[in-house]
Amino acid sequence: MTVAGEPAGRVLVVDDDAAARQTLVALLDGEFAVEAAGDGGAAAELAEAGDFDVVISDYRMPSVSGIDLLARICRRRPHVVGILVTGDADLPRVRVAIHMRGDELACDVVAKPYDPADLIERVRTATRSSRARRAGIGRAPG
Amino acid sequence: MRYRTPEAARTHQALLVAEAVAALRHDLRTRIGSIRNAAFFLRRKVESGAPALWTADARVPGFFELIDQEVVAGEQALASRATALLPDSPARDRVDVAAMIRALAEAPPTVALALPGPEALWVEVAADEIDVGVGCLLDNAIEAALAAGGGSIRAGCARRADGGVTIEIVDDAGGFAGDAPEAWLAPFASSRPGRLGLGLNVARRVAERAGGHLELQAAGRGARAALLLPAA
Repeated sequence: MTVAGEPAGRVLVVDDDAAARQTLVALLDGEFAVEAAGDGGAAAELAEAGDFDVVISDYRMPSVSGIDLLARICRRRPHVVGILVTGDADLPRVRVAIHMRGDELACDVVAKPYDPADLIERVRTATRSSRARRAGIGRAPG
Repeated sequence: MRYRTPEAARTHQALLVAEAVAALRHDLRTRIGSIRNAAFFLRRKVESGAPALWTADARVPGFFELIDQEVVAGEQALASRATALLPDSPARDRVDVAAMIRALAEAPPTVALALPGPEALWVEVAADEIDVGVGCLLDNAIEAALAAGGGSIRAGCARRADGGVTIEIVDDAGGFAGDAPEAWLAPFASSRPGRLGLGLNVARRVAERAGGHLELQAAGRGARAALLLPAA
């Protein structure tokens, strides 16, 4: 659960499917500060303007893959933790694609149709991880 | 599209069905995911906002459980009933991929084809599947060239430093110009009449079943598609 006194995690939801996007926002709204985008371009703009801890993106979108979008956002905001949501039958393909990016992005993978309670828990974990990364990035090397 | 054996034609059919089923399952999973999220959201709202409704009739929490269980069961049923169309580990053969490309390539006079030379390049692969993968890439490039009123295609193969083999088809037809590579793999999205729009998806599946992957890039006005096969 959210720790009292800590600001809510800031989450960006990216999915070209309106129903998937709206229901995911509804799921997270209340515990997290959530914004949403329907395509990669709008998501990149929001990520540039906002200060998100976590970006949840669909893997397969028309103009850009979720993995490329997360990589682009993480280059600009290295503390951001991504959660890649995929309906792809071939989950190993997605894991291989992430592995090929090396340390370029911190990313969790969730297969649709996921357990909503499990996803919320993953977002909590990702928020904590993002804040730890942010603190580490801000600390001067010893 | 040309096939070197009748088995390759049957393999192509199986690969097409596998891709079509995968695309439909992907769309269905997205829909099921939205239903599951919506049910979870409504359940939380009713549980906290209308506790009397929640406790007065056991069917209310019961039916929320039922929605969740049924959508998950539906997806699992689809997964378990998807027929195993292709063997998990197809038999591997020693194939001269240079000769294979030469045998598969056939284009009308308006399309100039540059093919590999006579020297052999051997690789251990499922021959019928690689036939289909290369055939799909050639077919795709030729269709793009025809749609552009003609063009040139270079089909080649080479051994990489890591011992693997790259088979690449490069066209200058502009069939993909302006689109992101992700869009090229959108299933059922062919702009060409009578086409399923699964050729590149089939080629990707072939590459991955062989332990490799498919690379797609814009190349000048055209496109480069490459099957990267691992070392044996």
